[in-house]
Amino acid sequence: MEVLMQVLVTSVLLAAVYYILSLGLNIIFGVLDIVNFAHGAMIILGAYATYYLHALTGWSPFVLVFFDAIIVGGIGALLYLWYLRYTTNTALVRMFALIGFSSVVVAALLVFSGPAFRDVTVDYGLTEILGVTVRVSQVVAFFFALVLGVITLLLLNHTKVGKAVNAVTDDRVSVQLSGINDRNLSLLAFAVGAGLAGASGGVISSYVAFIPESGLQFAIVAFSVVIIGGLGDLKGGAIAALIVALLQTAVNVYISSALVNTALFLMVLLVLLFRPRGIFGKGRV
Amino acid sequence: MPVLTCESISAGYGDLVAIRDLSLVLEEGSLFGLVGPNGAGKSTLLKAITGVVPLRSGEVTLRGESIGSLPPEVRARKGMSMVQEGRRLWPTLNVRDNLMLGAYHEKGKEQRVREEEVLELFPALRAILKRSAGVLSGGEQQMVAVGRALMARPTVLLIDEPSLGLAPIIVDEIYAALPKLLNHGVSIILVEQEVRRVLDIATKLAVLHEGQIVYEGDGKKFRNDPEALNEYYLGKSDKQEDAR
Repeated sequence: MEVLMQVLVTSVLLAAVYYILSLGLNIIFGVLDIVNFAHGAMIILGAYATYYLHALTGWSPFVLVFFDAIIVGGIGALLYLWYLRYTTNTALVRMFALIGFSSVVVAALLVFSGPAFRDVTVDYGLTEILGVTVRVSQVVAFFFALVLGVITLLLLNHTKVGKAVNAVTDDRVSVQLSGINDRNLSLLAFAVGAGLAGASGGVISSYVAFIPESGLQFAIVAFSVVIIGGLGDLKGGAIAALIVALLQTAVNVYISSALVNTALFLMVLLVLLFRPRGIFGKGRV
Repeated sequence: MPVLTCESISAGYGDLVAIRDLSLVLEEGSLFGLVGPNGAGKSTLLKAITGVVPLRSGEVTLRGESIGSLPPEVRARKGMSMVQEGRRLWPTLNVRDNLMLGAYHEKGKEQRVREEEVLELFPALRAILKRSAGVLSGGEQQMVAVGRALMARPTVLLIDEPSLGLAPIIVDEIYAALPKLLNHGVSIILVEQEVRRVLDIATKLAVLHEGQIVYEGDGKKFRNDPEALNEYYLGKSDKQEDAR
């Protein structure tokens, strides 16, 4: 029973982080119909931004999360304006364009920062939740992720610009015919999606050491959440984040840490086979 | 006075030329009915006027200003609204948000004034403002679609097949609203398959066949002789009978 509680509490704490890890990917797909294969690179850019800003200022990684969002969001905006906008509209070309960008980011980080693990994990000690001992930094990360997620959803659902972004997801031509510049909204969505990826990289860096290639592992989690929750379905993504966190934690505790990714891929495969629109059936194929 | 003119416009998709060397004039405060068989190019013509489908040649002017090379959103801001075939609402947003985004560039107070105008035209929408547009009936969706287009207070309103898939009683309600719009100074191009309805309210009628206007006149000819219209539908009659 004690172990089960450990699994549940850890999973809930992890789920919020997983949700913001996938949120940017979902927003970009919803608005632009682009599967952002550079998502992992953007997450790891956020983590490295935290590392260097922390070295420069000594500030907590949690404070630096907002700077990560601005930096990586800015990079995302430039990537869209100067590069992605000029790729043709075929999904394949954009996929390779984004994979190319990822390779450049990883190579640049290896040259600039080296292959050694970078560590900005914070140690605020231990605490107890429902009788389960957890790290305080995990709890803080949970709340930061929760706040980021809630702010993003509030902005998307309760502001004029956010509603227009949702409208683009529903029907871009109707947006144009209503006198709204959909290209500006696409740019905004890509920048916000990238910024969220950067912010999630910052949150993750508070409790995991990383190398330039770590982005791939984070991207696997983000893609799994998005596929299980349904492409473009932000609410489905929240439940999917919890499912992925539960699955990973349970397999890690009850079976073997070596099988975590295998179990995750198996679940993604089953969802793609039987619920291709995600667990709620509201995502896009 | 002409509010919208198309001069020798051509448009299409890939190798297909759906509109060929077509010209039309929409007079201020008038309703221009556009009928024709499936595939005649009616919807493409509206899309070419709004910029959703780019022009291959020719020119479109709105109040004398050339707009043929402008993107759709700029044309919309200059006073052109369109109700698309199939309504094309934003299903994840509620009715109020659908309406409000129709006047996106206006401030909240002005948006509410315009929303009230739309609700006076379609009182049935008042009770469903908070309902998601995706769950509305076809008739309710059509009212929201027209209302959304009116939120921009357009000079020209293009309406594509408003009766498609709707019960006659609902279509009556939509058509009852159109003359009121003309009274408010909105000029309308109405594309419709149900010719009889268009004949009843159109100031001018045009028959489109294979991307070209094969008849343009006041529509009286067909009120008294519906068989004559079939000739134009089937492309058996020659060009325009009435001078513009």
